[in-house]
Amino acid sequence: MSTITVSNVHQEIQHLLPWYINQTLEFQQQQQVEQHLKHCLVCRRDWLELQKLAEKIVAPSDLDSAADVSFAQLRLQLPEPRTRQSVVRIKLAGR
Amino acid sequence: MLKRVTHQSSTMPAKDGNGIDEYILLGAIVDGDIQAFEAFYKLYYPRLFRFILRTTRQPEVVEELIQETLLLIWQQPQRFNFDSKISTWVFGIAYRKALKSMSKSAKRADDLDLDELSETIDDPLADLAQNVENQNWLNAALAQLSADQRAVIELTFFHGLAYQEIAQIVDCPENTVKTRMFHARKKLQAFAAALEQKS
Repeated sequence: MSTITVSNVHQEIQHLLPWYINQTLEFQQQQQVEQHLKHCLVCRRDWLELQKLAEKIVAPSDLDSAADVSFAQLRLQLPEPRTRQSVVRIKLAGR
Repeated sequence: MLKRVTHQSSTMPAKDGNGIDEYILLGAIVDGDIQAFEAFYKLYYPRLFRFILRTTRQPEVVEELIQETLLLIWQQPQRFNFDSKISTWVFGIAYRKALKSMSKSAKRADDLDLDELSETIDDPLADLAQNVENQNWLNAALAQLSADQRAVIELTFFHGLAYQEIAQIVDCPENTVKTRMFHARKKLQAFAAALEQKS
Protein backbone atom coordinates (compact mmCIF):
# COMPACT_ATOMS: atom_id res chain seq x y z
CA MET A 1 0.00 0.00 0.00
CA SER A 2 1.41 3.38 -0.96
CA THR A 3 1.64 6.15 1.59
CA ILE A 4 0.34 9.55 0.48
CA THR A 5 2.36 12.22 2.24
CA VAL A 6 1.58 15.91 2.53
CA SER A 7 4.55 16.58 0.28
CA ASN A 8 3.21 14.22 -2.40
CA VAL A 9 -0.17 15.92 -2.31
CA HIS A 10 1.49 19.33 -2.58
CA GLN A 11 3.53 18.17 -5.57
CA GLU A 12 0.47 16.71 -7.27
CA ILE A 13 -1.49 19.95 -6.77
CA GLN A 14 1.43 21.94 -8.13
CA HIS A 15 1.23 19.84 -11.29
CA LEU A 16 -2.54 20.30 -11.59
CA LEU A 17 -2.70 24.09 -11.05
CA PRO A 18 -2.49 25.08 -14.75
CA TRP A 19 -5.48 22.91 -15.58
CA TYR A 20 -7.36 24.13 -12.51
CA ILE A 21 -6.98 27.58 -14.04
CA ASN A 22 -8.22 26.53 -17.49
CA GLN A 23 -11.07 24.62 -15.81
CA THR A 24 -10.52 21.27 -17.48
CA LEU A 25 -9.91 19.15 -14.38
CA GLU A 26 -12.30 16.41 -13.44
CA PHE A 27 -14.61 17.30 -10.57
CA GLN A 28 -12.70 15.27 -7.97
CA GLN A 29 -9.35 16.81 -8.91
CA GLN A 30 -10.89 20.26 -8.91
CA GLN A 31 -12.17 19.70 -5.37
CA GLN A 32 -8.76 18.41 -4.32
CA VAL A 33 -7.06 21.57 -5.61
CA GLU A 34 -9.60 23.85 -3.98
CA GLN A 35 -9.15 22.16 -0.60
CA HIS A 36 -5.37 22.41 -0.85
CA LEU A 37 -5.43 26.08 -1.86
CA LYS A 38 -7.28 26.91 1.34
CA HIS A 39 -4.23 26.21 3.47
CA CYS A 40 -1.14 26.17 1.20
CA LEU A 41 0.35 29.62 0.74
CA VAL A 42 2.94 28.44 -1.79
CA CYS A 43 0.31 26.97 -4.08
CA ARG A 44 -1.92 29.99 -3.68
CA ARG A 45 0.94 32.28 -4.71
CA ASP A 46 1.74 30.07 -7.71
CA TRP A 47 -1.94 29.96 -8.64
CA LEU A 48 -2.04 33.78 -8.76
CA GLU A 49 1.18 33.93 -10.79
CA LEU A 50 -0.14 31.37 -13.24
CA GLN A 51 -3.36 33.31 -13.67
CA LYS A 52 -1.32 36.36 -14.65
CA LEU A 53 0.67 34.27 -17.12
CA ALA A 54 -2.53 32.85 -18.60
CA GLU A 55 -3.88 36.37 -19.10
CA LYS A 56 -0.71 37.35 -20.94
CA ILE A 57 -0.90 34.28 -23.18
CA VAL A 58 -4.49 35.00 -24.16
CA ALA A 59 -3.73 38.19 -26.02
CA PRO A 60 -6.38 39.23 -28.56
CA SER A 61 -5.57 38.63 -32.20
CA ASP A 62 -7.44 39.03 -35.45
CA LEU A 63 -6.25 36.56 -38.02
CA ASP A 64 -9.43 36.22 -40.08
CA SER A 65 -8.29 38.35 -42.99
CA ALA A 66 -4.96 36.53 -43.00
CA ALA A 67 -6.89 33.25 -43.30
CA ASP A 68 -8.74 34.56 -46.39
CA VAL A 69 -5.50 35.43 -48.17
CA SER A 70 -3.84 32.19 -47.13
CA PHE A 71 -6.69 30.01 -48.38
CA ALA A 72 -6.81 31.88 -51.70
CA GLN A 73 -3.13 31.06 -52.21
CA LEU A 74 -3.60 27.39 -51.35
CA ARG A 75 -6.71 27.16 -53.54
CA LEU A 76 -4.59 27.97 -56.59
CA GLN A 77 -2.53 24.83 -55.94
CA LEU A 78 -5.51 22.49 -55.66
CA PRO A 79 -6.97 20.56 -58.59
CA GLU A 80 -10.65 21.02 -59.42
CA PRO A 81 -12.95 19.60 -56.72
CA ARG A 82 -14.22 16.12 -57.31
CA THR A 83 -16.83 13.98 -55.61
CA ARG A 84 -15.41 11.22 -53.50
CA GLN A 85 -16.83 8.70 -51.09
CA SER A 86 -15.24 6.58 -48.43
CA VAL A 87 -15.95 4.58 -45.35
CA VAL A 88 -15.07 7.62 -43.25
CA ARG A 89 -17.87 9.61 -44.91
CA ILE A 90 -20.33 6.92 -43.91
CA LYS A 91 -18.99 6.85 -40.36
CA LEU A 92 -19.23 10.63 -40.06
CA ALA A 93 -22.78 10.64 -41.40
CA GLY A 94 -23.73 8.13 -38.74
CA ARG A 95 -22.58 10.26 -35.85
CA MET B 1 -22.07 21.94 -48.60
CA LEU B 2 -21.62 23.90 -45.41
CA LYS B 3 -24.09 23.39 -42.62
CA ARG B 4 -24.39 25.38 -39.47
CA VAL B 5 -25.67 23.50 -36.48
CA THR B 6 -27.54 25.55 -33.94
CA HIS B 7 -28.92 22.91 -31.61
CA GLN B 8 -27.01 21.53 -28.63
CA SER B 9 -26.06 17.88 -28.73
CA SER B 10 -23.82 15.90 -26.41
CA THR B 11 -22.70 13.71 -29.33
CA MET B 12 -21.44 16.66 -31.37
CA PRO B 13 -19.00 18.46 -29.13
CA ALA B 14 -16.73 19.99 -31.77
CA LYS B 15 -18.37 23.29 -32.56
CA ASP B 16 -16.83 26.70 -32.56
CA GLY B 17 -18.46 29.87 -31.24
CA ASN B 18 -20.38 30.27 -34.51
CA GLY B 19 -21.95 26.85 -34.19
CA ILE B 20 -19.92 25.30 -37.02
CA ASP B 21 -19.78 21.54 -36.57
CA GLU B 22 -16.37 20.18 -37.42
CA TYR B 23 -17.66 16.65 -37.94
CA ILE B 24 -20.09 17.80 -40.60
CA LEU B 25 -17.35 19.82 -42.26
CA LEU B 26 -14.97 16.86 -42.25
CA GLY B 27 -17.69 14.63 -43.69
CA ALA B 28 -18.16 17.10 -46.54
CA ILE B 29 -14.40 17.28 -47.04
CA VAL B 30 -14.33 13.52 -47.45
CA ASP B 31 -16.90 14.06 -50.24
CA GLY B 32 -14.52 16.51 -51.91
CA ASP B 33 -16.51 19.63 -50.98
CA ILE B 34 -14.08 22.53 -51.44
CA GLN B 35 -16.40 25.00 -49.69
CA ALA B 36 -16.40 22.82 -46.60
CA PHE B 37 -12.62 22.70 -46.78
CA GLU B 38 -12.49 26.48 -47.05
CA ALA B 39 -14.67 26.77 -43.94
CA PHE B 40 -12.51 24.22 -42.11
CA TYR B 41 -9.38 26.06 -43.23
CA LYS B 42 -10.62 29.39 -41.93
CA LEU B 43 -11.77 27.79 -38.71
CA TYR B 44 -8.34 26.37 -38.00
CA TYR B 45 -6.07 29.03 -39.50
CA PRO B 46 -6.06 31.39 -36.49
CA ARG B 47 -5.68 28.53 -33.99
CA LEU B 48 -2.82 26.93 -35.92
CA PHE B 49 -1.16 30.27 -36.61
CA ARG B 50 -0.83 31.02 -32.91
CA PHE B 51 0.08 27.48 -31.97
CA ILE B 52 2.80 27.07 -34.60
CA LEU B 53 4.22 30.54 -34.05
CA ARG B 54 4.37 30.06 -30.29
CA THR B 55 5.92 26.61 -30.61
CA THR B 56 8.50 27.32 -33.30
CA ARG B 57 9.06 31.07 -32.76
CA GLN B 58 9.86 31.17 -36.48
CA PRO B 59 7.36 33.50 -38.22
CA GLU B 60 8.78 32.65 -41.64
CA VAL B 61 7.63 29.01 -41.45
CA VAL B 62 4.15 29.50 -39.98
CA GLU B 63 2.21 30.02 -43.20
CA GLU B 64 3.89 27.08 -44.90
CA LEU B 65 3.24 24.74 -41.96
CA ILE B 66 -0.43 25.75 -41.69
CA GLN B 67 -0.92 25.05 -45.39
CA GLU B 68 0.92 21.73 -45.20
CA THR B 69 -1.16 20.67 -42.19
CA LEU B 70 -4.52 21.60 -43.66
CA LEU B 71 -3.63 20.32 -47.12
CA LEU B 72 -3.04 16.93 -45.55
CA ILE B 73 -6.57 17.09 -44.10
CA TRP B 74 -7.96 17.87 -47.57
CA GLN B 75 -5.96 15.16 -49.28
CA GLN B 76 -6.35 12.44 -46.65
CA PRO B 77 -9.38 13.15 -44.43
CA GLN B 78 -9.89 9.42 -44.07
CA ARG B 79 -6.83 9.35 -41.80
CA PHE B 80 -9.03 10.66 -39.00
CA ASN B 81 -9.70 7.52 -36.98
CA PHE B 82 -12.23 8.71 -34.36
CA ASP B 83 -9.86 7.92 -31.48
CA SER B 84 -9.76 11.60 -30.54
CA LYS B 85 -11.48 14.90 -31.18
CA ILE B 86 -10.87 16.37 -34.64
CA SER B 87 -8.99 19.30 -33.09
CA THR B 88 -6.64 16.90 -31.30
CA TRP B 89 -5.88 15.19 -34.60
CA VAL B 90 -5.26 18.49 -36.42
CA PHE B 91 -3.04 19.93 -33.68
CA GLY B 92 -1.12 16.66 -33.55
CA ILE B 93 -0.31 16.92 -37.27
CA ALA B 94 0.70 20.57 -36.88
CA TYR B 95 2.88 19.78 -33.86
CA ARG B 96 4.79 17.04 -35.68
CA LYS B 97 5.32 19.31 -38.69
CA ALA B 98 6.50 22.12 -36.41
CA LEU B 99 9.07 19.89 -34.70
CA LYS B 100 10.28 18.59 -38.05
CA SER B 101 10.68 22.12 -39.33
CA MET B 102 12.62 23.15 -36.21
CA SER B 103 14.86 20.16 -36.56
CA LYS B 104 15.71 21.22 -40.14
CA SER B 105 16.40 24.79 -38.97
CA ALA B 106 18.68 23.52 -36.22
CA LYS B 107 20.62 21.52 -38.78
CA ARG B 108 21.07 24.64 -40.89
CA ALA B 109 22.18 26.59 -37.81
CA ASP B 110 24.97 24.05 -37.29
CA ASP B 111 26.55 25.37 -40.47
CA LEU B 112 26.76 28.96 -39.11
CA ASP B 113 30.06 30.55 -38.14
CA LEU B 114 30.46 29.77 -34.42
CA ASP B 115 32.30 33.02 -33.59
CA GLU B 116 29.56 35.03 -35.20
CA LEU B 117 26.96 33.08 -33.28
CA SER B 118 28.71 33.46 -29.92
CA GLU B 119 28.60 37.25 -30.25
CA THR B 120 24.85 37.05 -30.19
CA ILE B 121 24.56 34.68 -27.28
CA ASP B 122 27.34 35.87 -24.94
CA ASP B 123 24.98 37.93 -22.85
CA PRO B 124 21.52 36.48 -23.05
CA LEU B 125 20.26 38.90 -20.43
CA ALA B 126 21.26 41.81 -22.65
CA ASP B 127 18.99 40.40 -25.33
CA LEU B 128 16.27 39.83 -22.78
CA ALA B 129 16.54 43.38 -21.50
CA GLN B 130 16.29 44.64 -25.07
CA ASN B 131 13.18 42.59 -25.59
CA VAL B 132 11.66 43.90 -22.40
CA GLU B 133 12.40 47.44 -23.47
CA ASN B 134 10.42 46.59 -26.58
CA GLN B 135 7.55 45.57 -24.30
CA ASN B 136 7.95 42.05 -25.50
CA TRP B 137 8.18 40.38 -22.12
CA LEU B 138 6.17 37.34 -23.02
CA ASN B 139 8.12 36.53 -26.17
CA ALA B 140 11.40 37.00 -24.32
CA ALA B 141 10.19 34.75 -21.53
CA LEU B 142 8.90 32.03 -23.84
CA ALA B 143 12.22 32.08 -25.69
CA GLN B 144 13.74 30.55 -22.54
CA LEU B 145 11.64 27.42 -22.98
CA SER B 146 11.95 24.42 -25.26
CA ALA B 147 9.47 23.97 -28.11
CA ASP B 148 7.85 21.11 -26.16
CA GLN B 149 7.31 23.37 -23.16
CA ARG B 150 5.96 26.25 -25.24
CA ALA B 151 3.50 23.92 -26.95
CA VAL B 152 2.15 22.72 -23.59
CA ILE B 153 1.78 26.30 -22.30
CA GLU B 154 0.02 27.46 -25.46
CA LEU B 155 -2.33 24.47 -25.62
CA THR B 156 -3.21 24.88 -21.94
CA PHE B 157 -3.74 28.59 -21.60
CA PHE B 158 -4.76 29.76 -25.05
CA HIS B 159 -6.56 26.72 -26.40
CA GLY B 160 -7.89 25.67 -23.00
CA LEU B 161 -7.16 21.97 -23.42
CA ALA B 162 -7.07 19.33 -20.70
CA TYR B 163 -3.71 17.70 -20.01
CA GLN B 164 -5.08 14.38 -21.26
CA GLU B 165 -5.83 15.90 -24.65
CA ILE B 166 -2.45 17.65 -24.80
CA ALA B 167 -0.79 14.29 -24.13
CA GLN B 168 -2.54 12.92 -27.22
CA ILE B 169 -1.47 15.88 -29.36
CA VAL B 170 2.20 15.81 -28.39
CA ASP B 171 2.16 12.01 -28.17
CA CYS B 172 3.57 11.54 -24.68
CA PRO B 173 2.35 10.29 -21.27
CA GLU B 174 0.06 12.60 -19.26
CA ASN B 175 2.64 12.89 -16.48
CA THR B 176 5.19 14.13 -19.00
CA VAL B 177 2.81 16.93 -19.97
CA LYS B 178 2.47 17.90 -16.31
CA THR B 179 6.24 17.78 -15.81
CA ARG B 180 6.94 19.87 -18.91
CA MET B 181 4.51 22.48 -17.67
CA PHE B 182 6.06 22.44 -14.20
CA HIS B 183 9.60 22.95 -15.51
CA ALA B 184 8.39 25.64 -17.90
CA ARG B 185 6.84 27.53 -14.99
CA LYS B 186 10.05 27.29 -12.99
CA LYS B 187 12.06 28.65 -15.92
CA LEU B 188 9.64 31.55 -16.34
CA GLN B 189 9.90 32.33 -12.63
CA ALA B 190 13.71 32.29 -12.83
CA PHE B 191 13.52 34.55 -15.86
CA ALA B 192 11.34 37.04 -14.03
CA ALA B 193 13.66 36.97 -11.00
CA ALA B 194 16.75 37.56 -13.21
CA LEU B 195 15.04 40.53 -14.82
CA GLU B 196 14.15 42.00 -11.47
CA GLN B 197 17.77 41.73 -10.29
CA LYS B 198 19.04 43.33 -13.48
CA SER B 199 16.64 46.29 -13.33
